[in-house]
Amino acid sequence: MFSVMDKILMSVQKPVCYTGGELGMIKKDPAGTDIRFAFCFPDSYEVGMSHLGMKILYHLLNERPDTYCERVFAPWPDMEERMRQHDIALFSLETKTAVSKFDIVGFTLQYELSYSNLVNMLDLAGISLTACERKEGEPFVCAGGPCAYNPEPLAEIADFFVLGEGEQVIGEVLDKYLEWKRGGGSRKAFLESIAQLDGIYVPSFYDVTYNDDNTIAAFTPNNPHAKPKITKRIMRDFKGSYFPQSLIVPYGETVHDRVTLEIFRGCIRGCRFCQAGYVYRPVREKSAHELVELAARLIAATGYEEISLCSLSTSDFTALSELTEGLLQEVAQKRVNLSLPSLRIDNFSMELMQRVQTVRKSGLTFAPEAGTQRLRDVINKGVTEQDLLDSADLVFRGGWNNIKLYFMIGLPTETMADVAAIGALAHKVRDAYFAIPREMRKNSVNISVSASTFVPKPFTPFQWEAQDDIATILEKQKAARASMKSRQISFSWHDAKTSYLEGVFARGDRRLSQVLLAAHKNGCKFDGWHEFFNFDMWLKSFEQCGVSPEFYNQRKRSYDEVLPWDHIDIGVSREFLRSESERAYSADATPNCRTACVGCGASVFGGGVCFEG
Amino acid sequence: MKGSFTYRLRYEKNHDARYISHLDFIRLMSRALRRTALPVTYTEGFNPHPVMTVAMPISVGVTSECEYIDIGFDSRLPEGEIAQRFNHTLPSGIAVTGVVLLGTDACSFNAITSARYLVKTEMKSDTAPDLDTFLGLSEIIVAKKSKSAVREVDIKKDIYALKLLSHEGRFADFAVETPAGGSYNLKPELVFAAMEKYLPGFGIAFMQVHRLSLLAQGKALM
Ligand code: SF4
Repeated sequence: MFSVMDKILMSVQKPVCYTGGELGMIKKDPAGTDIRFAFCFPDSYEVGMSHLGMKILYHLLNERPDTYCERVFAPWPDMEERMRQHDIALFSLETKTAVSKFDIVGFTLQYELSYSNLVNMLDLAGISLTACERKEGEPFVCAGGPCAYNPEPLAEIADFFVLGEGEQVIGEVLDKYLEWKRGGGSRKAFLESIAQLDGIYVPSFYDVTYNDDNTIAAFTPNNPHAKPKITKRIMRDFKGSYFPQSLIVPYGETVHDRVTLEIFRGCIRGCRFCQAGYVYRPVREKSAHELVELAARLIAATGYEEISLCSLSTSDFTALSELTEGLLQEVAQKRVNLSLPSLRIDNFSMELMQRVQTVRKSGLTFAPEAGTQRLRDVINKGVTEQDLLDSADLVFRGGWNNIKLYFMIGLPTETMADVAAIGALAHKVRDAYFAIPREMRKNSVNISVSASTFVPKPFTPFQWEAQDDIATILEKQKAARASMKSRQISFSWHDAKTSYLEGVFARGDRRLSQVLLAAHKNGCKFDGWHEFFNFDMWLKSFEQCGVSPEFYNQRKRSYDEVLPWDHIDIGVSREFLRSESERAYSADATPNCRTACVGCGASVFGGGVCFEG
Repeated sequence: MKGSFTYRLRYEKNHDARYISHLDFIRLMSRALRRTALPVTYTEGFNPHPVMTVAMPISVGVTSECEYIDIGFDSRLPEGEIAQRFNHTLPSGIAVTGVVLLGTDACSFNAITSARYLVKTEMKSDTAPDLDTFLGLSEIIVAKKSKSAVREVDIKKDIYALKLLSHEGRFADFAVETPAGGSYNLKPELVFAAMEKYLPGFGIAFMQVHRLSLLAQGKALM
């Protein structure tokens, strides 16, 4: 009379994360489709449903009449406990179908600390955890997203990876799947058929050999269908590219519960620590006109009360004033809010923000990233102290009294003097407040400084660097804290242990797959969540596998070492990254793509900013 | 209520929609309202929001066929169109089942005095509870949570109705009427907690509460 699910849902914290049925959810008859695709996000519903890429691919896949794409999220531990207790396998939200019944199970990899959830989800689904154990009839497990640019830590787990922007290539994979399904071949035959597609990587088709010092000796294809180098896929034309007509509107509040407009992909700036700044090259924009139309359509379809722009640096959008004029008209009519993150402060943006009220509540954010000019030149963050103080002056005069400053600790070549300069800079920003005329000041000023830990990432000029060890990071955090002596300045910092683990997996190789499996066995999951992260258990898992985490995160590599991701081609060349690394050591700035193209290699894709002028 | 035309909507909340919390539900309704593109009245001030009031929200997990919301509109609208536009855009499990234009004499949500429920239960044994004995008790004391504290109260006078509707094996359905409203409210769950306390051998393994109606002095709201 009552289903087990009724009983379970009444006893968990957030039942709406497991019901599906939200507005905008795609309903299809599974029997009428040839391909069932489980789109899995290895984190909670609230996090996953905030993710733009998932929304685009979900709707895009469902545009195909032959395919039904359904959503799957990591159940929160209270739900997982009950599912395991009642033998309920991981299921999709749309039709509550067991994930093991799907044809293709695709994960999106947004951050390294979600890898244990991916393994746990396979386990909950009853799918074999490693690619080599997976039998005929089991789903194909694939992964994509920003972390897939170094797929190696998951090489033994996923059957294949999608590199770059999935929008195009995923359709080609599905076409091959249909062909294969009708023809009735082996698993291997399907993987061989897609290994030939650009942007598809099948890790089992490559052998890795190692040197005595554990570095990689060679990376060689072992299958005639495997390409020696796998090039990422991108959409050459971002203008007019696919965007859903509507979005799913979750019942409960999610992390980003609003219409998000992706105004462009990539970034012209080339901050040397930033992986996104390189892997998404070249910059490609949507047109202001299509974005305004999209905003109107999505507000009408979802009823959301807020629109937010999304990009790596809003101010670099070439038609920004046309876009904001159009959007401001739209939001006034529909009585919705407009939020404008990552806007550079100048007279134009100040005037704009005076007209957009949401900014008023949240205060403004600056990211100088480093305390001294020298270190900012090392990381190619083209912001001077004077820029920052001028902006602060504008902001305070504009009536804001809350400023957030983002810094990174542990950057290459950083000294204790650089760290102490963080506090000095924060004090100067505070002083800028007291320098404006008294009658323009509010009651108080509040500068919140936050320091994340630098983690070297693949495909950046810092990919060869050693990451600071935990003790050094703790010491630097302490020093940064000590450098701030004002009541008006608050300081927060990132957990050093999480960054340590992130650093291991960011630049890991395929030997880490076994560590991941061991950690899963040891109960690691939701590592990105403070309340579940168990660092000691991770250390134990490394030890059990005889793998040294320091080999991956705290070792400086030489330029000629074979890196685990060297077989992947993002367009930006290794030579360019190396020259950027050398320029970093001499604190030489590199101009952005619009000031002067420095020939990074990304022009091979034949589009975007490289061909603007 | 500031809108020149206030409409009262009755809607049902069934199936999975029962897990939506009150706060999420308010957000859901204001988004649905924006999607209908009806001329809703907004509050004035810095952060305008639609003029709407929800009557006596139910707890998470309870289904209902008698939820009410009053919404202000800037102009007179055909009732049927309001219902139709909402039902076109509401997620599954929520549906508008009636709309009326409120006159000046309309009964406000403050006038609500009681609610009727259908309670489906799975009992811990096959024996149906002895309701005569239960209702014949001189006092029925339970621990009742208020905003600030948990207090022992006598709920005997608050059980306006309690009937066994059907019984088969461990499953039994009951009809219950208890006080509801802003000033005093008694959840039907507490009546069953009291039965567990006073009737030896009676226990509830699982229950599903469904609200049938909201009443003002014995009369349905609309
Ligand atoms: S090729 Fe030039 S313009 Fe294109 S992304 Fe590289 S540096 Fe920028």
